[in-house]
Amino acid sequence: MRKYFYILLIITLFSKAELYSQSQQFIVKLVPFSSRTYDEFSPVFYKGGIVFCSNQNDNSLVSYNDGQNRLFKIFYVTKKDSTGWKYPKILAKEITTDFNDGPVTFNDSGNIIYYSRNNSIENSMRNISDTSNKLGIFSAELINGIWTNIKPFTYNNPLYSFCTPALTPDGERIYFSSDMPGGSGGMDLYYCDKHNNDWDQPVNLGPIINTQKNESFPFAGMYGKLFFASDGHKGFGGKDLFYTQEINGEWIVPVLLDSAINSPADDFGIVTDSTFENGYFSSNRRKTDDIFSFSAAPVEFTNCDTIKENNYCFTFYDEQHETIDTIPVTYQWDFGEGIIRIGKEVQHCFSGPGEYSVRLSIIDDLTGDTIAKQVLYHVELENIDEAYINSYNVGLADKPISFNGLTTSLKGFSVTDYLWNFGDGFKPGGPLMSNRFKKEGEYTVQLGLIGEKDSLGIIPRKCVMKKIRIYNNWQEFALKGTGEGDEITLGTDSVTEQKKTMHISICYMDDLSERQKVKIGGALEESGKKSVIFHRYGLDPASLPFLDNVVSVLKQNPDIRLELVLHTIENEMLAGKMGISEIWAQELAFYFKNKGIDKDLVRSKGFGLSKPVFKPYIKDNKTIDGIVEFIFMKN
Amino acid sequence: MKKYALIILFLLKAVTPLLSQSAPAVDENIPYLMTFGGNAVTSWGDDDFCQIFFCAIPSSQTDPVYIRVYDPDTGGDLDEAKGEFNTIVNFSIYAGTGCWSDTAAQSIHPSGNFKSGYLLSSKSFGADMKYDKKWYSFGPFNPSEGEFVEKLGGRVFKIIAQGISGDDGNVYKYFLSTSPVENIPVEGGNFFTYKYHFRLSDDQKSVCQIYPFVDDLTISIEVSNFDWDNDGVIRIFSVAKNGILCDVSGEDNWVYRKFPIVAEEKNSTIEIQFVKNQTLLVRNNNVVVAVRNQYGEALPFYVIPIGGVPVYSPKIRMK
Repeated sequence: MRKYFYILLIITLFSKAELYSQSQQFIVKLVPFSSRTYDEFSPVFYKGGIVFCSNQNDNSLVSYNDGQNRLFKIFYVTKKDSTGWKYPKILAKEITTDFNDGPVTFNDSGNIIYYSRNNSIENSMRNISDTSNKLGIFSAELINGIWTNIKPFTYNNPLYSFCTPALTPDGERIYFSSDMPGGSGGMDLYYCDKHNNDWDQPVNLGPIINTQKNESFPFAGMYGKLFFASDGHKGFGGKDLFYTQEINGEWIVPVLLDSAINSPADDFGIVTDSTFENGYFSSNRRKTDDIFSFSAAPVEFTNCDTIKENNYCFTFYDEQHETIDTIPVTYQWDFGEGIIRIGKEVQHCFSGPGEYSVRLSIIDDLTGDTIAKQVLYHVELENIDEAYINSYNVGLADKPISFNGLTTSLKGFSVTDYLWNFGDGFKPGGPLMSNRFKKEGEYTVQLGLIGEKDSLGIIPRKCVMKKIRIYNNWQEFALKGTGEGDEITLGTDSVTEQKKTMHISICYMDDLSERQKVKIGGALEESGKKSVIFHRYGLDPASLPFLDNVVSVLKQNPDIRLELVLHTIENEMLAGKMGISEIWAQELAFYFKNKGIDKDLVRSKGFGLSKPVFKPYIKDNKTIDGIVEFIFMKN
Repeated sequence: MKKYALIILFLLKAVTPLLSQSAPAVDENIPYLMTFGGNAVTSWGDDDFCQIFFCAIPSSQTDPVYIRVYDPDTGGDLDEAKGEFNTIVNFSIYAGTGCWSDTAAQSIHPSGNFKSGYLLSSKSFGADMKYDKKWYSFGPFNPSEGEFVEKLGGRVFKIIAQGISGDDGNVYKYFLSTSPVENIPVEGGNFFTYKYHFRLSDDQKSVCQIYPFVDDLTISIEVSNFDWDNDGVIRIFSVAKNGILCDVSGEDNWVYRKFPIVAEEKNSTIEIQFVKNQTLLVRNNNVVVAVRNQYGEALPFYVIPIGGVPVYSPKIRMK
């Protein structure tokens, strides 16, 4: 038995050593207001200071004390100067009870608080050894400097604990932990979404997040990141801090935070800034619960590769046919899923990496006989082995752009840390990030990846970079972007019934490959004349062949989306608000939606009213009154 | 050379289930062979009034064989009269050393010693209702009398149909049989020629094809046709050619066109297909076709294609 114990101990030590070998991306310091004797934990930002829980003494209050277990109160501390802190004090008497109070969370404005406390605060219940007095969540509003209107959370239950609440930055969701039935065991994380000013039913975060042990102390960061503490996921020991993120309705597997933040002791109750560069967390690594600050240590990557775009679009041809005369045969290519393309050379875009079968039949045009029947060609597509930043490569100034590093495809490279450089150095940020670029211009975004240590003890690093072009508005982009097409169409001004002559322009964003541009252009040519004509009551049927081709392009290329931009002279406004270009833009968007195109894939905007930069001009003895731009870009 | 013979032997073996030894073969969809009288004009479709065919008999065949001719006379419904029938066509069977191997025998233009070998049998036919739409049998012939050709794995006899006099067109068919009175095929037998004179169907929907064999030394072929009368298109199929158009002849002229031969086509059969004009019906169209390699040597047309009918095999690529 003893032998077994030693083996277990050695395995455990080695296991920890492995985890400790992770790179330390943060500098961690004990905050001055954390005492050696008492417990301090669960810091949150509040009005330039920190609100936290502590069982330290505050003489201004009469509190129950059994001599061993002090009750937890909500304290507030502010900075004295750039390095020093004032003495912590109770946040507010009105939300202080004679029982346990906190942790807390505030809304973005700081005028609403949600906090945990014991459900019953009657003096007769003042026996803290009585575990039947469960924790509940309560809220209060700050009115005229006084926390008032204290309300219990809708789903509090005296039989179970509801605690450690955390509001999302937009205040539309609240996370909390509870041991109520129906979970995975121990404390589980739940959330409620706000609906009609009330909270919907609690939703368990599911088995990817919740384990048989305890998950608690959530913190909702920016861009959907959720930090939490768990002693059920593999970590350094005790409670460890993790983060996760909900992507397309699925939570990503929790990522263990840096080894500077986590330790073999309990680490929990974290709060960070929006970029996860600076923040605070709680740990009992010094025996009592203490609050530590952390800040990102500078990390450098050298030799950042430029991203190579995966190409799933190819031209198929018969090599033998290419070398000889044009002959009266029809090449029919079957790409599966009902996609048949005709032509001696055809272009096809596959949906992504994978294995595909292409079947070629050659039909004799003279006799109708089949010269070659269903000749099989096997296609196997793999992603380029590289770190990858999935994002738009254009955007608008001061609008958030999302960046996703999860599509990285690196064989034998297990990512432990994602670091992003938006021009101010590499900072930890997780696989998903968002950034605003303040001004028009070209920016370089870099993604640095740190991998698990290999058998030689080397921690591998990878880095890629991507150029992002920022415009002040889409209109500006459209005028600068690559375009083609010079087709003229007639539109009838649906307000004045005045005929309008519009110019149709097809534009491609730079994030599309040349092959994709050729493919889209070719597909659009199939409809013959490009034409978009509006009547008073909607689109003229003559517009449909062209628009249906656009629909086909979007359906066959799920990685492409469309931005519709209309400019025209506004003779008058309809309903006092909308201009003609806006109405027509809406009609086009409605058409695509009716054709089953996801609304996120087609966005339309009329600029005639707000930015009438388009100037009429004469062409072929016609006055060109406006422009309809079809801007294709990567989704 | 031995390797080449083995390939031919193998391919011949591969087609032995095709027992129909008629010339033209059923699968060629050609109604009749054609030879005009010696005084005819070439504009009627026969460039030299002489057709040379060979029949290959496998060594395994030891019993006598007969070479049968259908409608050997020049008269009646099938043949093409230019005024009153006045034509005599001679059919001669040759055997023995040199009957095939003499280069003159394989020449596209019969001259010199093209009647090489020794004469086994000969008969001339005029307008004789006795033979109209009837089979006439030459033989019996002992297969061993044929010239032994190793690469063909057997013995070869030669049949020369030559217009002696007159100006009418004689259309006819051959059959290699083991019986003098009925068509019983010789297993593994085949007919081949180096210049194909034939009559096209009057059915506009009809498509006929002939099958030259390309050996491993061929790097290009020259396809020539005579007096096609612009009756539609002539095109080539093979494992690597999916219907390349040939130049087509008009009235009383030869046209030639060269095509490269790729590796996949060596030691294989190619198909020359004749698709009639779909808008204008050309009746009684007679045509002569020959294929030469880069040395000017004629390539043999086998009525039963060696290795089977070629099927185009596209080389799918993506870029």
